[in-house]
Amino acid sequence: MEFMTGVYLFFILTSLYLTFLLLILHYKNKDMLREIREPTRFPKLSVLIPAWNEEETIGDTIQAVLDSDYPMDKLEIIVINDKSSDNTLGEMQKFKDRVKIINNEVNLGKASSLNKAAKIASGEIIAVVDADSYPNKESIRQMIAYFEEEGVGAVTSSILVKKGKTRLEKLQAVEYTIIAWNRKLLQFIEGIYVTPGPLSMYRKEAMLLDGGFDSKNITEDIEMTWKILKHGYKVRIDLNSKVYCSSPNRLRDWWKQRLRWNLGGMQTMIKYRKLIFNPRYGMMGLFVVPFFITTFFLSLVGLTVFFYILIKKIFQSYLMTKYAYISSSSFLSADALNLNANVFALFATLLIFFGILYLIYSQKYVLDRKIGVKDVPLLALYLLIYLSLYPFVLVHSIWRFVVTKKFEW
Amino acid sequence: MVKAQKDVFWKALLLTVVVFMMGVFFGYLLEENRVNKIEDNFDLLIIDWDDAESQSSYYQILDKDFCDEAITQNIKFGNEIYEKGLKLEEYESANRFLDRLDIEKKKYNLLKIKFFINSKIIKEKCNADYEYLFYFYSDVEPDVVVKEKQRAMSRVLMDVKYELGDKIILMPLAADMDLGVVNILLEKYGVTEFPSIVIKESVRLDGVHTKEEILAFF
Repeated sequence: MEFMTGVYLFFILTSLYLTFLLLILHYKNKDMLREIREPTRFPKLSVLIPAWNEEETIGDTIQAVLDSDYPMDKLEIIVINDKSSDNTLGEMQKFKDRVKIINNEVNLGKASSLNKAAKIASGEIIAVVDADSYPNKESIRQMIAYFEEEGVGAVTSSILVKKGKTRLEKLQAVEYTIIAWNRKLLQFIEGIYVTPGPLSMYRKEAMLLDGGFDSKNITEDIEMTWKILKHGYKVRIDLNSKVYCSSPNRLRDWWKQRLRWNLGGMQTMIKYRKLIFNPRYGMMGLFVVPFFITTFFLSLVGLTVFFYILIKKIFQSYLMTKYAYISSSSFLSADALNLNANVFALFATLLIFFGILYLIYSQKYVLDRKIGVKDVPLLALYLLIYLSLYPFVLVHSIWRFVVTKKFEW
Repeated sequence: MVKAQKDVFWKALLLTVVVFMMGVFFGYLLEENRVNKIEDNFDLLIIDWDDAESQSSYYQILDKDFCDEAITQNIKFGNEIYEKGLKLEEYESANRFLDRLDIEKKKYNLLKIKFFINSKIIKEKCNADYEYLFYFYSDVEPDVVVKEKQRAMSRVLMDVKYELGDKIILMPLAADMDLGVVNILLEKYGVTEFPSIVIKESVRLDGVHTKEEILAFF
């Protein structure tokens, strides 16, 4: 057996393990995925909305929170203008009778702005809503119910993409649906590792541990979740609570966003590296950190293998063309098309099958819809092209992280 | 209240091991099936060879009037062994576990040599007008440049064979399988690099050449 055969088999083995882990979790808990919890009490809730140059969306975001069916006497809304250069402040002031406004004299960044607002927040629970995100009417109320479970420090929601026109936005809509479903499954092994900015809630005491949000981390939401887990709190997600957020509609912006996610993920990994396989931190040490590192590693192995095959093929094609030209023979022949099945073809078919199953389940359990024939081209594009972009962003991120050390929004 | 379901880690591991082993086993079976097919083909080829050899002996020793038939049968066998050789290469490149079919290849090479000797006897006894075109190639892990040169030459030789038909007997021989008789031929024709072709047992061309260059010798 060749060395590369061993590498492929290892890659297949790890991918199969993660796939089966999620599928077993799904089958074991499928009746609980859409479980609706109703709160027995309504604690004081402070909703923090940080904004920087969000004049186009901030008004709708505030309105969406105001439209929530959470008792208004228990709801405090604090909006933070982080020295925007546009009319964000003006938009905020339209709601000045119903929201508290913090106007930063200097640009502090998202994490520091949130910490500043948290200090004056009176709520027992703190919710963070991004200034371009729109929670459903019932989302906040349903999420609150999860805090009645003992030890829960954070609750997040189904983050979905606001209906977009471009193909890229539609692809992200598919992706976000799968992420939400995955996140719910990870809840059953205490493995939720991020409570994203569009809509997440924190028990105030948990959130303020170790100084609140880490202003040095460019994905403060990942870092906050890891910190909460490290301190022994549980993290939950309510699939029924939906929030719709804007997503990049240009590849360049998408790339930049993913670069930030990866860089922040790496910063967090480095910060919490000592927790790996440390049983004292429960599932955080035994699963979350290793899982995060494994998925990074798998992407890298996948990309290395991909580049190995690609470079080999390019070099072979160059030589093939060169010698075909010298010998005046045909450039292609039927013998190049070897259709004999082998072990890799078997496993690839199996993994594609599971990929399709993932798509079907996520659509069903998150959006309550069935995949139709008209969805096939988009889903095929997602599986075959969109997913293959991930490792490239990862390589760029590693380059940035190791070589240029440039971390910015 | 949700309790962490730690048992899923073991269940997933168990399922992964079972599915992985099944996949590897099934993949191994597929490959073994291909090897068995090659062995079956080889057994049939041996029968065909015995038949062809017996026929040619009969024609040569007992009944020289049937030279044409002996030549036809010999060429037919030559084409058959060539086709089976291509299939063997194809199967080998698809295999991942049983990735070398050295023994089968050695058997094929030896059968080709036997066929060559037999066709040489027929050529002399029956005055046949076919010529030999030896093609020596490296089979044991050739570097990528040699591999691509060989790929190009294989195509050129296929075209030559198509053009000349039964006027030539094409003899592709794996040169680095440590077969004594092949080593004798390599020494006889002075072949030291691959790919190399020997036309009419006298002209050696190393490297890549065009169909026209080769046809010019016929």
